[in-house]
Amino acid sequence: VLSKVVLSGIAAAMATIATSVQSHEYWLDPVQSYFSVGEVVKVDLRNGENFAGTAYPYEPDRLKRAELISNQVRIPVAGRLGDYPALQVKVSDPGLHLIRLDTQSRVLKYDSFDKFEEFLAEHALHAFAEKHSDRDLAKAQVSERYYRYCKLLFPVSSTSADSQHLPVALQAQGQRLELVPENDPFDADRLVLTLLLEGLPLADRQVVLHHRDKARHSRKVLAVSDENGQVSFDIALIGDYLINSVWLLEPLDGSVHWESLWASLVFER
Amino acid sequence: LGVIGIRTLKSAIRKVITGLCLLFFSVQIWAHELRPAIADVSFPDNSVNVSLRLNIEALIAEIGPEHDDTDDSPDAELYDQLRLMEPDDLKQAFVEYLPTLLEHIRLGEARVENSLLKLELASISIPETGDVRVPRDSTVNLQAPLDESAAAFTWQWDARYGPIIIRAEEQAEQEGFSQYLQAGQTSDDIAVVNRQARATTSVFAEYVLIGFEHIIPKGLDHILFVIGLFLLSPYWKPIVWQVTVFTAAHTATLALSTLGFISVPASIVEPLIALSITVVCIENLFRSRFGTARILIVLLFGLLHGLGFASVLGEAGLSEQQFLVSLLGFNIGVEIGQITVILLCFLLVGWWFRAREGYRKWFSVPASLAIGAVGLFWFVTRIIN
Repeated sequence: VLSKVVLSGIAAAMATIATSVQSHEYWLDPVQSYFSVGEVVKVDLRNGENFAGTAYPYEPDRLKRAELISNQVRIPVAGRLGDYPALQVKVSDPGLHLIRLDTQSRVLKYDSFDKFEEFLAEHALHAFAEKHSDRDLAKAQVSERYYRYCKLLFPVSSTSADSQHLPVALQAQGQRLELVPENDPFDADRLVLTLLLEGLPLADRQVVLHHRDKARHSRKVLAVSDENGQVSFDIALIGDYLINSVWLLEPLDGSVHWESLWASLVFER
Repeated sequence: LGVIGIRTLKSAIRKVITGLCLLFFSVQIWAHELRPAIADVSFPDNSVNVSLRLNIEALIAEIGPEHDDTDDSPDAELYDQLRLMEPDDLKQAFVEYLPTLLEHIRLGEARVENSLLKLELASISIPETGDVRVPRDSTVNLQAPLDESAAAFTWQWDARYGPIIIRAEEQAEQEGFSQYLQAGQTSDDIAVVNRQARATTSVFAEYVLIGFEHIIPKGLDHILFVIGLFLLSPYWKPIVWQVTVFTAAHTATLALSTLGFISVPASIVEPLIALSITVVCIENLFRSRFGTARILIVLLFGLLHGLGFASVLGEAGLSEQQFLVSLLGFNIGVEIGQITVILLCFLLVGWWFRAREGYRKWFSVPASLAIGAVGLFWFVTRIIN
């Protein structure tokens, strides 16, 4: 008991020192590991870091679009206000499935320019500090409107043997910032991804892979997209994978200083 | 001394570590976006039940909606301390805080003056400490009796506790009530649904069964007592008389005792019940005729057994709302149990043996002796225990 307190305390202290406070990943976290036809898939919405995230309830006002997508279906995922896990949907056909979630935007204000710079540093967005100055924006309270674009890939019953066609779950879905898998991650030891910004490859952008093994040790791998917006990761190890990328845009209206787009892709091997 | 020493040491070490942790980090990590508590309202068994899923630590530290981040809150340190607590310690802290919470919850009948419910803590479930970077959601069940005439309620809790989603159960396949309440907002009408005011017939049937079970198979001492009554004389008239008197007597004490008018500790009642078996069996040895003395004895012991039933019934609990129905049901169940015992005696022995020579000598006397001995044995062991 005592050692648990010590360990969790130290872990938490280290985590705080190692990472900044404001930057948070947002991802889909399925409750189960195996999925079969006829089953209700339950998925938590989590916000946090390094797989440690706070679960949020189902609040339709916060979600813009939630869908279950397979070769056979594309159906909206709707729950009941206050549900935990937030997303619950029955899968009724075998094969590769995708749950896609876009959130409604929310606005965040940074207390100080330092905190904004911390956030930029963590996501290799340093250049935006200068752009902020160039745009002659106030430094006292940097405001940011953020949007999340999440994906969860999972095979149901068995992965489809039909390799003739690209499964719908692997196709681009039209999220503003989107991680598109170029191959089936359940069928290969490497995963190639294309990062799309509004449908076009985004080059030279940091993409982070988090992996957590069965002993719940996690590690982080950084990559940068090439001129085709592509990155490639070794995914030979079993465990949970969470891949993230963040990008900043100048908003079209002047209501906030920046818009941030957060893309995530989750799967478990 | 050694144990106490180790405990004190452990607690001291834990305090130091907690302090160090607090020095390095404040759990600012947790509050990314405001998260509402969830309240599920249901109406089981003539009560109102509110099952709250909430962050108890934030509740006690009163980190309200104005502090989007615990870091900003004046009570960040308290939150951190609570978050590091083991479930038992946090439970204690919550129970201490509970009166404040209950004072700031307004759950009352919609548009009815002075109808605020007095909620009480029914149960609480707190997960292990786990990863302290992530908030811990505990479940708290609050309950109050439901007025039969109540049709709808409204909920409101103090703004300090932040937003809450309030929901009621589904009814007849229709999606139940659900509403997001901003901090301090009062809910719309939450209609009473799936009111489990149990039908009188179902309460009655349930208690008949409970009563029966207290004789067969649970009440071996009552069974032996009834057999003792049977052994006096295997004919209908004395048996019907004895059973009727016995029933009237134990109904009286059972009612008085469950209503709280009389109270005799089980340590006295239980040995006496055992002794009553022996007494009727001894009487069987000396007479086979039914008379006033026997009626008085049965009356006395009936009163005694009623107290015994009351203590077992106390464990099962009478339905508060339907006291008379459940008491009547219980008694009838007990009666059916006793009549069953007597019928079995008749079928096994009475109807073919009672008129024959040697019934007393070869059956009723030895059986009384044996059962009386068991009663005596129980009397002694119950006194010792």
